[in-house]
Amino acid sequence: MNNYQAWDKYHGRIVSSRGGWKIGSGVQNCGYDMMNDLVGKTSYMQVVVLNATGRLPSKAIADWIEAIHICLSWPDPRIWCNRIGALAGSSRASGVAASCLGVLAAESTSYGIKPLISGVEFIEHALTQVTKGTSVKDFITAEIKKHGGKPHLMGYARPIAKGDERIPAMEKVTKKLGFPIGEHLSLAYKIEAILNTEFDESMNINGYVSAFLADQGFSSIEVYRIFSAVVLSGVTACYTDTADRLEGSFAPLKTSDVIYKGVTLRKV
Amino acid sequence: MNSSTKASASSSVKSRGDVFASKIETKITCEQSPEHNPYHVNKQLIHGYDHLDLLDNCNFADVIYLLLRGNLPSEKDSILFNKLALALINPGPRHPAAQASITAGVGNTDIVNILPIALGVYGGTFDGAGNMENTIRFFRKAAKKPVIEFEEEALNKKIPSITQHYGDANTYANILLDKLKPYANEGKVFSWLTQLQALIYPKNIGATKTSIAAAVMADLGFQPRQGAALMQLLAAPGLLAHGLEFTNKPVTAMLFEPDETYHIEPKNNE
Repeated sequence: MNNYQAWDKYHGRIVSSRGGWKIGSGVQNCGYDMMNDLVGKTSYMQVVVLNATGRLPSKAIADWIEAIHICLSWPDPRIWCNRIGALAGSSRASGVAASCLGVLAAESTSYGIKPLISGVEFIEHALTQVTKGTSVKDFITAEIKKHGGKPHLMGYARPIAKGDERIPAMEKVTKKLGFPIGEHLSLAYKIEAILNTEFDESMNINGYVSAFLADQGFSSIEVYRIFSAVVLSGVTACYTDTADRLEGSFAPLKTSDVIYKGVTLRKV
Repeated sequence: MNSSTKASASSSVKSRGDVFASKIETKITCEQSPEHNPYHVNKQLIHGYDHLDLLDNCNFADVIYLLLRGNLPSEKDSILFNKLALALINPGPRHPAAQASITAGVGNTDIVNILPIALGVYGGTFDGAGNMENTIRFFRKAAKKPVIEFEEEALNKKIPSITQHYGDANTYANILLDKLKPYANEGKVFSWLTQLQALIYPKNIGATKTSIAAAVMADLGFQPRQGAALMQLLAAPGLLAHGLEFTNKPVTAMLFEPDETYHIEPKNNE
């Protein structure tokens, strides 16, 4: 009883480790004066990372993260989150709602944002095991056993298609920005080599991003927070396409397009 | 002066000195705390009724009505509100909002995000809640005049939520309008809407679910600004059910149009 004192410390006040706006004296963000230290001197993506992690990254890392954001925002409405944007446009929902709804959809265990948590944790775990002396092959065998004999390792294989055109694009960015291949990414390539030989499967973009960012010292939860709106722009593209067409015209369905498999007509 | 050296007067930032509330005020809920913890509740009143009394003696829809209107509905209004809720309960799997719900479900989107996604799409103006505020405002004024004055406006699609659906007057909305008549026809706005429908439906334009919802809500005394959100709430069960149905299905259960049916319109970027 009477165990609420911890909440009373916050009652009637805001406590922030990040910063805030003091009217007349400016906006503080993690020790930076936003208008004087950041605006015009850093990229938007540097501040996105600052806001997500509390640390201002180098311009090069921010540029790399910006590039991967482009890779993960396609204007194809068949992709789940984009489809929701397209449906919202067709329904004449607002553009802001559409973009946010697509972002909400990408909080999925199958694609988008959540697999990045698992991806970073997977490659960190893999490196720990290999560092302890487990061979890469034995590690893979154990992981495959966990997945009922299927090579469904986090960061490898890809739904719908085999291969991932985004990886070679990002490899070029990595090289151009002068990043070396770190120990996580190096291990990720070794795992890929074995999976490729034995199962004809390769790394997917989640595996590449997770390993690269683990090498850069980001934790799984930091990666999740940095990438919270990673699909936003692709959703917006799909919204704008359908919002400018005939209402209700995105993938309209006739009643005959739906197969009913429930019980037959009955009375209340 | 060179334009790049101009300085805005905005460089001096001062507080306007607005006085904000130090406590939030509500007419809806009164909560009382036990002695041992001021963040806990041991009694809650909703518009003056003990929540536990409502739990024992009311149905769900009546308490929704209470929360939004401030009083429990009369027996007749309770029946009408429940009938409206049932009329709107399931937009069906082909509705874009249900499609969004299904897409989120089959895409393994976090379960707690499925309903917000569906309701967000349902907030559009195409067979959804997006036009409710305008519609209620228009209907409340229009219902004071003879319906014949609005026939031409309706036929020209100048009345909110009086329109066509996929090119024709909305078949199921017409059925629902007819079905609700025994419960709703004493209402001034609903009666006006049915009279308008009689004039325009034979000319292939007519009421929608949105206009039916707007008419009934106006007669029940809901405010225009409440209409859209309430319509979303009433459609939520059907939208949610269709999304949840797909949460255990494989990804291949979703529609994924093959490349052969995907046409990219040419764009000249030069």
